[in-house]
Amino acid sequence: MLNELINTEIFRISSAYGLEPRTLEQFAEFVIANHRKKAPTKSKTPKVKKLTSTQIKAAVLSHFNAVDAKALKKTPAFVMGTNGQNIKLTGKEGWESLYRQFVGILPGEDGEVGYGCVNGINIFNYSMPWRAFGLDPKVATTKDVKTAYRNLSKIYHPDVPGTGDAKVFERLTVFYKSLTEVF
Amino acid sequence: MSEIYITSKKLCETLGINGEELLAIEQFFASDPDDEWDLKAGSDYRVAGYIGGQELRDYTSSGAFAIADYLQFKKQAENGWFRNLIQALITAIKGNVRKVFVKQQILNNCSSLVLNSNRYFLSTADAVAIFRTRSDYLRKMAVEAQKDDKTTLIKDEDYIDLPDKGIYYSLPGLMKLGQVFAANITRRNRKDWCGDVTDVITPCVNDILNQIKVRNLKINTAIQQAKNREKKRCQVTGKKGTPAEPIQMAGHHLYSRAEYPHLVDSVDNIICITCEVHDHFHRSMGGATVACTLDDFEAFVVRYYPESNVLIWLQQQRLKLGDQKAITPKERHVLHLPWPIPKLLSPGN
Repeated sequence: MLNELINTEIFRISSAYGLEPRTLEQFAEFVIANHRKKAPTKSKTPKVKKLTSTQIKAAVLSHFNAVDAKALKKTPAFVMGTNGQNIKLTGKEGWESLYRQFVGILPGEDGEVGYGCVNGINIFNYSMPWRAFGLDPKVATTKDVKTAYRNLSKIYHPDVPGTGDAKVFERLTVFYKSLTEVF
Repeated sequence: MSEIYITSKKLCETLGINGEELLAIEQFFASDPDDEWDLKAGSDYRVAGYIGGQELRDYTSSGAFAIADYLQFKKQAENGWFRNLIQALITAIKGNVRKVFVKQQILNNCSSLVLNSNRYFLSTADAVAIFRTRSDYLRKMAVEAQKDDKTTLIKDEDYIDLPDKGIYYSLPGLMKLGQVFAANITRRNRKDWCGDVTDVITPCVNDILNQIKVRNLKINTAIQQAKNREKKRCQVTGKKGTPAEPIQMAGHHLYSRAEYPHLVDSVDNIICITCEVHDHFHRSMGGATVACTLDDFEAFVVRYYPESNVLIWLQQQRLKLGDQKAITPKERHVLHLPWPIPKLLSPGN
């Protein structure tokens, strides 16, 4: 099926780079058979509508049973839960941070991809170790946690070229220690 | 929990009656000792004082219910209306009383308070005492907390594990533990107690921190007052600085700060000496952190400054201060912690 020109080129590449000629032949056949076909389009997922600042604020206030920011700051649960954190309630970021910490995952942030996102969750925004390890806390064992951590280490360990990241790995290590240390 | 008392004023407010009506009811109860309406001093009420010759009473729950029942009977109100009012009032009062006990428990059990990464942490022993539980049950609850992403205790944020001191919990960490306690405990009073811990611990810790700050200011004021008392002249050497040749003065605590915290802001416990003499004394004791007493300072003066007149002054201070007992680190109260609160270094730091 392959003409002489292609066979000569396969021979040259396989000799130069030490590759199996059969692998290159298979690749050439795949290209010939598929070069006109279009790549399958991704199925459209329904777009999640993000919450507005007002909606986020309302959800946080409702969670703490407070009527406004002033009352919120006096709520024992808020004071205790945010001890040591410098949360500013003047902008959207502060309210988002509270929503993530106390209410749940913000619409649109579930299944997120990008820097810091592991198994669909941003590990810097959410302290959800089980979710980050892709495990069900009800059934997962310490061995499962170790396996999941080891698998993620193969991707995020700083020594891994391309995907390694010290910050992400450090955060995953904190999660791992939190779930495996004996109290 | 001890008996709770409801003031006459609170009882009137709750039942929607005025003082005169309550007085009339009290008189009616006292008028016929053989009828069914009776209030006994001690079990139903106590006398809190007198106004215009009339007793001002504080009612127990049984006394308050007796008055509610009488109103029920007299006014033929909807069945249980007044009793429900009293029940709600008693529940509220009991809740407030319990919170006072929780606050006391926190105040007396947080001497391990330390700071790490802007968060305050408490030792496991203090957490056990605050939740009024056992250490094995607290451990069980911590393990339980790790089974849910919402309550998972995150290392270095919610807790810190020190090889020599064990686990310390931050306030957010204690809140998560409180939630797990409340979810797992079945006994109502224990559940309420743990709920109250999460409600009051942070304001309580903030109050404690304010008190420690105020105490620190008082210490600085006392040191300044001792220096002013001596017009900034060294009580041992008699040296005094001049504008041309200033001498740095120190306020030395005769009874050391850490071991005698109750004397730390007393001017009588502070002697004004040059920094040179101060350093010399602490060097002779083996370091600034070594405990010292008035006797140690006296022995130091006798040895190195025998000609000093301060010995008479020291004798006077001994008479003023009397015999003092040093406290051990275990006896140390949270209000005696230094300011700023000591920082806890995590094993990784």
